[in-house]
Amino acid sequence: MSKRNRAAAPAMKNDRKKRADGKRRALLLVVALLIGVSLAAAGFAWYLYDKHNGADEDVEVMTPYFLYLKNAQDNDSLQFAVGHLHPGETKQVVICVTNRRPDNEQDNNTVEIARESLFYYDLEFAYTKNLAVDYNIYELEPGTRQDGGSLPSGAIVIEGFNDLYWTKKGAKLSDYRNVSSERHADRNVFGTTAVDNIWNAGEYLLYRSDTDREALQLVYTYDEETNTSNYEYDYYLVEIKWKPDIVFANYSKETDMVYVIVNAKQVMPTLKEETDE
Amino acid sequence: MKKMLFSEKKIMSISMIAVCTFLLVMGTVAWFTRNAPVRLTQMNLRTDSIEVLYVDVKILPYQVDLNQEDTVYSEMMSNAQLRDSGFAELAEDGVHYDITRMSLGLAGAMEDVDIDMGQQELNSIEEDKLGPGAYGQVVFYIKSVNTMATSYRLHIQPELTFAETHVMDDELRAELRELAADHIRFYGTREDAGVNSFIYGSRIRYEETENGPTGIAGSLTPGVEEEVVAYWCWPYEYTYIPLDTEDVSAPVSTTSYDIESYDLGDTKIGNYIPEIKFHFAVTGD
Repeated sequence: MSKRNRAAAPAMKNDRKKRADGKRRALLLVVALLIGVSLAAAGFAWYLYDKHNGADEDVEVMTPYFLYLKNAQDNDSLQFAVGHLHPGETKQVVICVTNRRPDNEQDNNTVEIARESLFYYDLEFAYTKNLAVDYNIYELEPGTRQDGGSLPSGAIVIEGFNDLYWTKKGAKLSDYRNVSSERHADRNVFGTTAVDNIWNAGEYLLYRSDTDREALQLVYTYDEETNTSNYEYDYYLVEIKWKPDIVFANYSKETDMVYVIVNAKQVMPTLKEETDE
Repeated sequence: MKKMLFSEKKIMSISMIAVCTFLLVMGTVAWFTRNAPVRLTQMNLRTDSIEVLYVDVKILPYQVDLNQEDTVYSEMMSNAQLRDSGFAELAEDGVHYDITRMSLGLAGAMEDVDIDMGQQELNSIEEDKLGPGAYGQVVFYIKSVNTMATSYRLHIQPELTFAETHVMDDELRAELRELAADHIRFYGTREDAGVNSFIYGSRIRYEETENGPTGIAGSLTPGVEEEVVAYWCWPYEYTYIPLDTEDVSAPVSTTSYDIESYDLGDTKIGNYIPEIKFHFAVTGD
């Protein structure tokens, strides 16, 4: 080995040593950085760890009720009017209870039925008692008169609706409850005056069953195949006739008020008692 | 002299890199699992569990075999404790129990388990259905395991199912969502104010609004179980809507238009929404 090489050998050795040290330091730095980042990430994630607790519950929504009083031909809202009752005369008024919106109420911002529904309703009949008459309610069956066809016995025809007729479904509705005392106690109607001091407070009869003693109800169904809505129509006859053996002259100029009220079973909800029907 | 291939320094370096990589991966996994919903078909309580928050919920009676230890139904009670609690009733067969409390996560995972909505039986409201005038409550049991969570937040979110028999555009759907959120409400407090009359407070909002944040919050003491009740109601009339003192946009007076609009809203909800799914979630802070 030459003298120059012998002098250069320690310097080269130092250089190699320096490079080795540099690499080692770099490696240590990278490892330290990795450790630091790992610890920070793990610690941060652990700190933020939060178990999620969740569950779902499905609840059905009750379909609302659509209840209308219509006139005999079941198109428009009922205009309930009896008119004059002459001696010996019997008045018959046909009313329709249905879940189909009347034609004359299409634009009043109400909604058409979108879901199938079934609900029960009450038919309430209220009247004053100035006249000596009997008020009877009959359930009716509708029929369509064929051209030139004859009417069945007892058919009820309304003036102006010659193609329609109705027949009584059995005897008058007798399954009712007299709710006069409850109505007379209603301060919204009679205020604070005692009913004994009110002349002709009226009689209130509540019907809940039909001729077959089935609960009064209306059903709406939708036929998806034919895309048609199926409403239901219940017809009733309000028949007013004089009581027997009366002196008509005693009742001239007398007037009675008659009300027909239908109420879908959606009153203000109250807790169901165990004794409820 | 040649250096050895696997010197001690190289072995140490490689080992340290392996440890760091492992820690980095585990930290990342923990990060991602933070937001993953827990869905359990079985749940085993482990003494070395790192859960922060335990949440049970009151359910409708559900029949289980509490003598089997492979499935634990409550996050705060063992099966033995559940048997002796007021939340389990021995069934007629003398073996199974009807339980009325379950882990919220487990209740959500089991399709045939129903959360008890606490709905009272009311005249003129069909059984187990929502309608104007209906009310009830959902009961949660929340416990912080350690000091990691010192408070909770209960979130409730309704999800509507729309009637298929009626064509609906996005505008109607948005209107129905708004109606449902306004008519069917949850509150944190309820006081009796007479027959069928209540005073509600601390509205539990479905979304964050100018009136307050979403959900309802409360504090937790580590190791102490808190019973948290979410009272819900569907006010029968506009005038029955509980006064919300925090609502900055509440009208000053009531008009007949308000009353009629509310009734129309009830009809639309009942007509176009056959079912509502309520999402219940509890987070710890």
